Amino acid sequence: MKWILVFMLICATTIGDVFRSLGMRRHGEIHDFRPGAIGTVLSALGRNKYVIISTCSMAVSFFSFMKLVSIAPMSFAVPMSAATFIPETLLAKYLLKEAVDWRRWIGAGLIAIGVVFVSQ
Amino acid sequence: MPATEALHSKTRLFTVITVLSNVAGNSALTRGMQQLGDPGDSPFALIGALFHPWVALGVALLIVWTLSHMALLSWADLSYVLPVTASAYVLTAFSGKFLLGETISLTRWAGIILITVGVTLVGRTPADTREMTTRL
Repeated sequence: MKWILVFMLICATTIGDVFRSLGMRRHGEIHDFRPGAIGTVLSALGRNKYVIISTCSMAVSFFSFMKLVSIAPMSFAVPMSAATFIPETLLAKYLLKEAVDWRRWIGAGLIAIGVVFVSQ
Repeated sequence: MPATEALHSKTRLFTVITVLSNVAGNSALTRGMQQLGDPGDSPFALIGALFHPWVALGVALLIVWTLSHMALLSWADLSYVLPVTASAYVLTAFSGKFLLGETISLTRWAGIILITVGVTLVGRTPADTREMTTRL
């Protein structure tokens, strides 16, 4: 059960993050953080199909995480979610067209290994 | 303040908010779920758990995390945001030790150092390198 939840968490988080990034880029940079302006932004995001897909996927991720921490320590559950680093960095490069240079690859690799160590 | 410097400051501020709300939210959620125990396989039990005070606090903090993460992604690359917010993993380990009574072994310390080096390395790259994605 624990590993099924980890698998669900990783897949849902990866899909959620990539679509969230796509949706927010399509929306554009947020400049104004006054309450009225934030309401306008949230209203626009509620109609953004990428953000809607991301939110549904993040809901699956959230409930998987909730169930996981009820049967495993947080110091296991949280680092396991870092397994998303590799697929997300690959998708950032090839789907989102980001310039992922050697520093980002090495950094992401070190963090992924570090997270595995932290989960021991 | 020049536009680039303003963007750097905004990125740093939202990175700190994202990391702190994530760590505090996960810690509160875990504390609540551990007090409740395994809710079983019923989705209604999971929804019911949302009304436990610690779980509710965790959810509120994770909503802050979601909004600050979304704001950050409106101007910064995913391949930048993902690693620089990874310092949350280090803080989560400390939170697990001091708030939830979990232990930090030598291996875990080694992991914390690797994560810190990785975050520092990625933090030295520009936050925004992406081409316009509106054509997707």
